[in-house]
Amino acid sequence: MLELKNISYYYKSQKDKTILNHVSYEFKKGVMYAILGSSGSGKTTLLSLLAGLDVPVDGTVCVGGEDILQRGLNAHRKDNMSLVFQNYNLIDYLTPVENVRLGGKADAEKLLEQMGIDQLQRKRNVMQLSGGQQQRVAIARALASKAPILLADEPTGNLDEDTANEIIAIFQNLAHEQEKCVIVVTHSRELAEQADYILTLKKGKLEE
Amino acid sequence: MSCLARTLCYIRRKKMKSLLLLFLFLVINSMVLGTLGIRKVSLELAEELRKNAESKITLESMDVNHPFEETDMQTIGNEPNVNWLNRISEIQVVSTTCIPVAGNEGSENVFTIHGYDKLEKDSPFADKVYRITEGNYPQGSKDIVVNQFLAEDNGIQAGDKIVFEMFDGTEQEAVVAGLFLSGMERSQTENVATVNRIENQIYGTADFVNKLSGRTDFFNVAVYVNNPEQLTDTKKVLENMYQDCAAIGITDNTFQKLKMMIGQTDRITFLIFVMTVTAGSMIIGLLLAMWMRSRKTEIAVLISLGISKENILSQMVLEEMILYFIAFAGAGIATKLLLPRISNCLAIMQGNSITLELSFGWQLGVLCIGLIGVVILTGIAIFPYMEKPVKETLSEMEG
Repeated sequence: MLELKNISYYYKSQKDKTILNHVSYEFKKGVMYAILGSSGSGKTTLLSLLAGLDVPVDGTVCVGGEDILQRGLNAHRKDNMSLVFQNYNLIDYLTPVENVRLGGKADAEKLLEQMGIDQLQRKRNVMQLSGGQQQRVAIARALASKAPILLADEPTGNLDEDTANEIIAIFQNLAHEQEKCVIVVTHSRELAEQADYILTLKKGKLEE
Repeated sequence: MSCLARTLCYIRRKKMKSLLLLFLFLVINSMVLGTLGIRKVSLELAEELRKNAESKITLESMDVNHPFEETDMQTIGNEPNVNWLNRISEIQVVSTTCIPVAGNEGSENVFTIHGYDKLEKDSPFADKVYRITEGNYPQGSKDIVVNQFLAEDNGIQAGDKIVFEMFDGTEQEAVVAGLFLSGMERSQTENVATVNRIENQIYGTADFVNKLSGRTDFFNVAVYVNNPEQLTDTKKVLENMYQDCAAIGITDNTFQKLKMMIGQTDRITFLIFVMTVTAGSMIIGLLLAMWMRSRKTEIAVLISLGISKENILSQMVLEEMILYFIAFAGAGIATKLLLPRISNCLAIMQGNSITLELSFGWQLGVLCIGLIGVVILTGIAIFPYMEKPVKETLSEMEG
């Protein structure tokens, strides 16, 4: 479904320091992946390349066999990908419902209900919600696009243990029940162990 | 969620920012419209002044053999800056029906008749030294105005006729169109010759005087110009034409006095306008730059959600444009209400019929230029964050 073909990446200002070195991997739908790695190992870079927020120096990222550059990065972000961030990144002047509507045309109220956000909370300013609730709104926004791939960057980094477990359960459900390809980037081994596959990013290489 | 929906949400929910920007736009627009209103009036006044300043060049023939003929009048009248000519003539003539107010010495029944194309422009009437007390200035070719004392002595009233002897001995009737007083009749000494006494001065048209004298030329001409600022140039042209036979002078005191005042108003309003626009643009530009910096995350998130950069730019531009438009409408109403009051306070406007207001065209111009300015300022403020890779912004946020 989502394929990395011989991906290499380095910063143009530091050509001798390779972040990703000829990485190839195929992500399948209905599976939850966890990408582990220490700080500075290139996890976020890899996620950016998958999300079409950056382009590799060498190699291609393909979805359904089609190079995302050929399709257009904007179209790729809109149709193939949905993103969940560590800091939620909700738009502060919109309500939860409106934030979800940014993601796509799906029924925002229904999605928020599924995520456990009650009606009163849906109409409040999104910044007045707790961290866990904000992350649920962010996930609802990611689901609104109906994109087949969900990328999450440290989604439980700012959450307490109970809420983190709830969020992980939602991801598992998305992968197994809704047949989405869920890729979670984390440095938490505990979270990674709940994924179907654990991939480790080390010295620019992605290992299973 | 559409661009317009996001725009309206931003304006509604970010109340402080929106109100601050609205207030700034309102102040700037009010000042711009106000100063433009004053500037427009000062320009109109300058134009009115140019037309009505009555700046003129006076030509006086120095050679009795070379008076100004009709052909000279046509040549002068064809000069580009010449508006019209006031031909001036004079004759001493005998009346068969009227007795002059006598002095110690003088000729029997001789009067001095002064002829002007427009009596109220170049005669003692122009400076309001002489004033019409009854009737009107001469309108028809046979109309004259006579002194009130002469009229009383001879039992003449407005509408009566006086007969004068022409150059060839025949008689010519004139109609008394009005009576005048100079206020100096009583202060004349007894030594003043009868023909020179104020009471015995009669004023009529230039053509009437020439009819009495049998001449077709004139010894004095006042040349009125269209544009007083080119008065010297026109004078030079006339000097080249009549250098040897005429004394040439200029009169444009009224224009010079008012020109300074209006020029000053014009410069001040222009300065206020430039300062307002410059300071306003800088303040708005800095505020937008500051606010856009705080919105870089939002921009990155919207891009990561697959929303195009054009759509995001449109949202930001639309936010400022809506606020600008509301502020402009407010400023328009405010200036509409306040400008008449301001005009009453301005000394320059006293006694002038021009009202201090802006035309629709000028307002539309301010609106369009303002909106373009807003688009440019927003574009400049947002540009760095549109160009910055989304990954970098998001990485900064994630720490």
